[in-house]
Amino acid sequence: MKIEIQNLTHTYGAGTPFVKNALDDVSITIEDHDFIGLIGHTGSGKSTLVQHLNGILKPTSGRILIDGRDMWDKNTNIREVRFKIGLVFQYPEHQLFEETVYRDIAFGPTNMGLSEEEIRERVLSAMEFVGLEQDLLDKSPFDLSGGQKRRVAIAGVIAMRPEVLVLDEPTAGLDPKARDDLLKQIKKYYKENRSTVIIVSHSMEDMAKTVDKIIVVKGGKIERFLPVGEIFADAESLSSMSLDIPTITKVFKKLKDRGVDIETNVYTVKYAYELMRSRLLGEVRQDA
Amino acid sequence: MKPFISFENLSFKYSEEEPRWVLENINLTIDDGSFVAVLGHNGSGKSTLAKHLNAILLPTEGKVYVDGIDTCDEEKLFDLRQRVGMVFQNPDNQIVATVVEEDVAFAPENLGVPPAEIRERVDWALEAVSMTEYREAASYHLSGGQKQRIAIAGVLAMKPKCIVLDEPTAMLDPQGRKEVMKTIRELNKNEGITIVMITHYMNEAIMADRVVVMDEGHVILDGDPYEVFSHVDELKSVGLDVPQPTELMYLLKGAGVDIEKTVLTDEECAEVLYNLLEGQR
Ligand SMILES: Nc1ncnc2c1ncn2[C@@H]1O[C@H](COP(=O)(O)OP(=O)(O)OP(=O)(O)O)[C@@H](O)[C@H]1O
Ligand SMILES: Nc1ncnc2c1ncn2[C@@H]1O[C@H](COP(=O)(O)OP(=O)(O)OP(=O)(O)O)[C@@H](O)[C@H]1O
Ligand SMILES: [Mg+2]
Ligand SMILES: [Mg+2]
Repeated sequence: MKIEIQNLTHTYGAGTPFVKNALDDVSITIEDHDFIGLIGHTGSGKSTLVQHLNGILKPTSGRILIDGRDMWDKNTNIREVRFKIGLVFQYPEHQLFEETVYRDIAFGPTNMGLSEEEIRERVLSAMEFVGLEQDLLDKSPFDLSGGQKRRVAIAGVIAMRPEVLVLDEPTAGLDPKARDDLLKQIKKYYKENRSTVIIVSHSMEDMAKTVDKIIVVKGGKIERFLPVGEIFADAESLSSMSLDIPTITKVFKKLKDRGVDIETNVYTVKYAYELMRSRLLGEVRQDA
Repeated sequence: MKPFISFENLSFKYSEEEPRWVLENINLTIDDGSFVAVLGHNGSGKSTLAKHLNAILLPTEGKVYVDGIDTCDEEKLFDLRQRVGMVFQNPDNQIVATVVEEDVAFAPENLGVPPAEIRERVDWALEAVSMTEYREAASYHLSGGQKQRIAIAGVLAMKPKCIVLDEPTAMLDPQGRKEVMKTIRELNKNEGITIVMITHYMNEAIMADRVVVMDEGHVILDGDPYEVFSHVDELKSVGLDVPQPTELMYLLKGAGVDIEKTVLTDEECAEVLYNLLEGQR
């Protein structure tokens, strides 16, 4: 699915003393099968932006086209759009309301009018997707730990099998293994379904190893839209926007600063390992 | 150092019917003025443990003492809550007033701090979390990270003897995360405030003096960061990780590179790699 955002402005609290332009004339095109990370300082407008993608928020001005059709055109069925573009909220609590974990995850598929059998199958496979143990099925989602709630919220959206998957800080509150597993699952989903994925995150490490391109938002405007490598190559401007580079990248910049002839476009531990292994062990062997 | 907090044979479950303990026979003491990070996979019992510190939860078995107060002693509840300030995992549940600065002033007001001092503390706390410009904003209409900053400011303004933070930086941008960690460290070092911080970020845990690792309601590792993060396999087996520099060193060591000590930070890692590369020439 192609999503075109044209001159999108969103104003909160119009007519009150706290009027705020959270998005200011934003235009950007997300192509079908893009895998995008969305980063930006606290309050930059990320959540506001993604909530427009499935019609939770309505533009104050500007348009959003889904495969060329205006989302708010009276001929567009916004309900259908919400089944195709799934959004996981920043706070899972904003999404959980049913009495049991099962019913919460089943909520979307039920609304889609699927059969009981299909719903059950989807709930169970969504739970597997997020690594939720089956013994939590009948528990109240409110009696779960923070990370477990987050997983239920993600599972609820996955169970709808949307064509476009939008996740607002999905790894916040997940333990490191769950974080890694989830990112791998999302990547797999992206490949297997030829879907489009947009992930909001404050973890530069997660972004570096997961997405292809990154959008940087600052003060309600889009500052950059570039491949991952180009984003992290510019540490100074990232830090001026309250952002950062992955820790592992800092190691190589420090080596370079000390006069070592080494590349600094090292954004993952995996790549760092391969590089250093060949430098340290490869050369040792040659000398011997 | 005298212990400020002690958990004595603490066991807990949320209801009688539950087959398993959420916390099982925890024995742990935390020294006055120390900075402890608590790690553990989702559902391992971290928040449950933290909620025992200001009597939101009471032990099913065993005892919890804070600054000599038995948390079960109802008459001392006010004294207890005056000593322990808590930043909950979900800042949304923590907002109590509609305007940001009133929200931050809420706890010190309750403690009977004089108005002039409240003003000072609120200004300082908002500054510490970079939210001064939002002082008059509506607290319910903030971004996720802004709410988290306000929740932190609220507890800073309380200036309790002990601050418990449950994943305080989960929704902050990298700059905000650094600022909050710096503020916490300063409160700990300069004012001797005891800090208990739950986190899923390994590079925050390394800033603590002591790291406690939980698994299924038990404490499985407890030591200074260098000690704890040398157990790479064990940490991974319980759903955790190590900082990126530590991971790189661990992998290289596994491949046969001669590395002895555990490194935690990018500086330490660069130093070791520099020496290795120099040694080759
Ligand atoms: N209110 C509750 N009622 C019943 N069970 C609960 C309740 N809160 C938590 N639990 C259960 O107790 C266990 C420990 O939860 P706790 O919130 O302490 O975990 P945690 O280590 O803080 O996890 P996370 O990293 O996900 O926040 C979990 O299995 C959880 O499902
Ligand atoms: N309901 C609301 N009413 C008024 N202002 C709001 C509302 N929601 C958000 N804002 C303001 O709009 C701006 C953008 O908020 P948004 O939630 O989109 O930020 P964000 O980039 O997602 O931030 P974070 O990383 O903290 O989640 C912020 O300055 C925020 O204070
Ligand atoms: Mg947000
Ligand atoms: Mg928790």
